[in-house]
Amino acid sequence: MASPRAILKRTKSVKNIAKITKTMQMIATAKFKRAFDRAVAARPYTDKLTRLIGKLAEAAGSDYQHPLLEKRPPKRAVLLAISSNRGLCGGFNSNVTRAALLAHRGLMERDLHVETLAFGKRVGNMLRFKKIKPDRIATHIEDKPTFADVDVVALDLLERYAAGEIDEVHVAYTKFVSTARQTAVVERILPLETPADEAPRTGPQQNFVFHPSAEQILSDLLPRSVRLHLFQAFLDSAVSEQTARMVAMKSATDNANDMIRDLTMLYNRSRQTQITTELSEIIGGSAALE
Amino acid sequence: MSDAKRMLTVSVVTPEGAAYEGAAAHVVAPAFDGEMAFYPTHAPLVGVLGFGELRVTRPDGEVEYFYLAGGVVQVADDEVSILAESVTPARKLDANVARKALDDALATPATGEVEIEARLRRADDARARLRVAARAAEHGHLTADQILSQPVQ
Repeated sequence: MASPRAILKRTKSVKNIAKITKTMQMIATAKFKRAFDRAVAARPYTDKLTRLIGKLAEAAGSDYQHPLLEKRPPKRAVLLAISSNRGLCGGFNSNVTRAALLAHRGLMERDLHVETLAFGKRVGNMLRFKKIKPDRIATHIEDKPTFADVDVVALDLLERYAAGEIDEVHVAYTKFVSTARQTAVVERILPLETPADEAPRTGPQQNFVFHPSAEQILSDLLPRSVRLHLFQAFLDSAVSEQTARMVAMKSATDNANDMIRDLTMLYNRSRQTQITTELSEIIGGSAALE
Repeated sequence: MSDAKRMLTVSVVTPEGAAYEGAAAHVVAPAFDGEMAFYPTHAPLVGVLGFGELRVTRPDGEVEYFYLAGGVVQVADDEVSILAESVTPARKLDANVARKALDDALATPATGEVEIEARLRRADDARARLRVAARAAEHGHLTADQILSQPVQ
């Protein structure tokens, strides 16, 4: 059995670890709240935009054509992987990496030239470790993505898509389903699904005045919905990261506390053993003298 | 209910959150080709918005000024929903920043259709910012009625 002093030393260091993880858990909780509010704030916009696009698509008719809807034979695809710059958040980064790897393989099997963009240091490094060298690793979008930051990326993709340089854009990120569930998903953001397919039919139709025409408004809105989709992915990822870190740090703190309990018990026991040994030595010694 | 009492329900939302939610007597929005005003009982409409000033007149007559950078407006059943790219309260605009943005935009060399268009958009945005900022400084001490009676330049 280890000496009581050594056990005491270990208990102390575990206590320090518990303090750190506890703090990190609290920070993650505070950040989660903020990220969650931001993700929720974007929701009315998304809902309204989706509904509006559905309505316009109906008005524009089924023969409406737009470059973003058109499915051309794909040759080059872009895969975005969104995760975080920091670790200590459980399986958050590796789940995204796994999803991205699967998607990457799928695209390769379809004989596409795949360009990989990693957002977050972690996912970039993990992909590189898996022998998929990301064409770019961006670390500037931290846990508080702004629309302007994400928009730069989205606009660039849209522009290249319009120019015919890329034919498909997929994004791997962690979707925030609820505080208890976040799943790594891969979604295609370009080309768009035909909006009429997903729009629920609304009840009585009103005769809207379109200014300018429904087709023109639609062609203004479709790129917006792509940009929004990407922004939503970043927001979801930010919320999921904090949730994952909260959970990871909670279990780390719990583990540390368990360990402290065990170590304390071990310390007490070994101290008692030591005392017993010393006592019996003294008693043995005095008995020998009699 | 008489028409005079009818109010609009206005919501101005951006991807980063709501900029205005609530009732309003009327709303003036910057359409892509000029200004558009909405009063209660307006016909259902969907329109594209450009860069410019968004004015929301609250039920008590106070006017709120915003700078709006592109979006869409939908009007139906006295509900005005504005989906905007970004919305800034007019008094938070900085004329100097806007002027610099305009100079930058004009100084950027642009070749080809796409680049020229992008430059035009940036310049339009900056010009509209300047205009709204100037107006915000001007009407800072005026009441809503006085502003409404002023001609729009």
